[in-house]
Amino acid sequence: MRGSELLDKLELVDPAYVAEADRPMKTKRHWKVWGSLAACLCVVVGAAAIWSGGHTQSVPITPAPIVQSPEMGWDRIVWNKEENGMVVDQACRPFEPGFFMQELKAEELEKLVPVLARGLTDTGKGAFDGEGKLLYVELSVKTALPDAPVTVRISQNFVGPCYAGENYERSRYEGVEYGLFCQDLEDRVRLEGEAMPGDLVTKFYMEVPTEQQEAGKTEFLRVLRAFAAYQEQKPDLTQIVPERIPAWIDRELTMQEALADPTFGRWALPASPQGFKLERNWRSMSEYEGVDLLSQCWTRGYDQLDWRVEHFTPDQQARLVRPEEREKYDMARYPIPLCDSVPEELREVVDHPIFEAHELTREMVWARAYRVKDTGDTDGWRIGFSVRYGDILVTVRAKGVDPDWIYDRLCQLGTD
Amino acid sequence: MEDRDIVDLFLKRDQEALRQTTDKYGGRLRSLAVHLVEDHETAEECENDTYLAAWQSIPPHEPRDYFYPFLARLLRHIALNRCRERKRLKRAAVVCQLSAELEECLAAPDDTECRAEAGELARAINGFLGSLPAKKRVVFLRRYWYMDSIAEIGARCAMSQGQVKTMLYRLRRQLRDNLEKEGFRL
Repeated sequence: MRGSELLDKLELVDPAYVAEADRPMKTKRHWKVWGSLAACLCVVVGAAAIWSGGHTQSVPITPAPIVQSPEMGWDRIVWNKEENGMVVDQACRPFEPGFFMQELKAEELEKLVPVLARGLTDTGKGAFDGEGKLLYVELSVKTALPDAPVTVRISQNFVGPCYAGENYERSRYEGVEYGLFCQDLEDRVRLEGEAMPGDLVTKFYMEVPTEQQEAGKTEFLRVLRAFAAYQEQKPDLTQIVPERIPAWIDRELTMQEALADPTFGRWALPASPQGFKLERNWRSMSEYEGVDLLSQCWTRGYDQLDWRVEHFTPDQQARLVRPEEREKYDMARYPIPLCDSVPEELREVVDHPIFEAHELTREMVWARAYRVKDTGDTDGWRIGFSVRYGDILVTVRAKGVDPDWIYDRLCQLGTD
Repeated sequence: MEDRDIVDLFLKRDQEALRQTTDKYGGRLRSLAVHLVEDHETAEECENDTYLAAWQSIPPHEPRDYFYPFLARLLRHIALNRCRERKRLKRAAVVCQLSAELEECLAAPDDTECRAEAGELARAINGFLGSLPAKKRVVFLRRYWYMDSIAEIGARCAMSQGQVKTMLYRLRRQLRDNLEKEGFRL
């Protein structure tokens, strides 16, 4: 069964539950996430060390009764879970056209770093949008643990809420409600915290080996408390400007513009299969992120054709296949599900083979075509592969398009 | 008119049943249809097809105690099919997104049809939903039954979008674990 069928099968849900979900919810007073400046300093209940000019002092922290801020509409906070290197909820960076990061100048860094963290913070970057507007600042603050800095991200604007899971420690320190949460990542522990000292959204991240968890917490809290200095002396983020804005393009093109594009126009598709409607031509380029491509998309009901043109890069060399290497591209050899039938060492290339244009045959294109029976989806041919034309790579992904049509178009590409 | 009486009209094959249904639930069904397909013309078609589907399914069904949810279920089924047939990259894209999310609940998704009987699957799904606190159940159903956006769920349940996404992620994992524990191979 596929997800689409499970979506249909939810019609089996008990009508009482369906009715319950249709009734207005009784909610607590709504929390406007950044409407309140309830600073959230993460502090361990127990002794914590304060760093001051290289000396440490033990300062006992007395837990106080929890006092719910009247602005807060929840009584627990949920931890941001990381998956595949990205935070999976709203705390991940939203798409900003022309996004880039630049190292901060020494004088900018000096104005940003609180006194208690100076000497530990020698690197920092500013994140900007394509107009050069500062999105946030990211500092790396060293700790007493080797290779375990605390990353501090500071922004004037909302960058995503902090969540701590069900098992988190809560207390109050100097009138501020706080919590600390540790997430086990097999052999490591991830710590997260958030505060709004001086009205700046300040997020903290750190990972340490599991055996150093307690020492990691102590260091983490030390850094958090150092940035509490923003409450008294807030840095002026408007003073941080980029030295230059890297070139970027991110816009929709007309078909005429796509075909006339000086870099990729010769490999753009000028027309679609019969019955397909053009959804978009899109030109993306980011000097900072190393992206440069032209993408096109057509649809016909549930059928789709994606056509993508970009530069061929050395890291794609491993996906180049020769005609005789059928085990690397012939879909007939691998029944669905591919995750079971394709050997692991071939998975990358079987998913994304690249053919040389001068070696491409109709038979090779057909070898990439297969059909699936998916409830609610098209049963047309599915196909996906790339073709290299010198230093240009054209990638085709399609559902419901005749492979012969695709082959004929590929043969015409790059001709004057 | 009470739902029981309207259902009785259906059972007697009295076309007054359709007028009563339209009068009592037409507005709600239309709102639901518009919400699901995001197109007024298509929503009107779905609503009309729902009345026809109700006429064709009562009898054998006798939804005296759950008449509106019964109608809503028919409407949802019709709307999902419409989304898949039409406007590929508009509302249908949402259906694709929801399908992709729900695929995470399947231990070994493949292209064969569901192997479990409807009754067994209903018990498993409803057992899972019944084990949840009301709020989580509502969030799950608003997303996958009512096809609300994350933002709409957040506004309805007074949660941030991040909280909603995290909750849904965990619920999908929980459903997957439940199905595996029940020995389901779907």
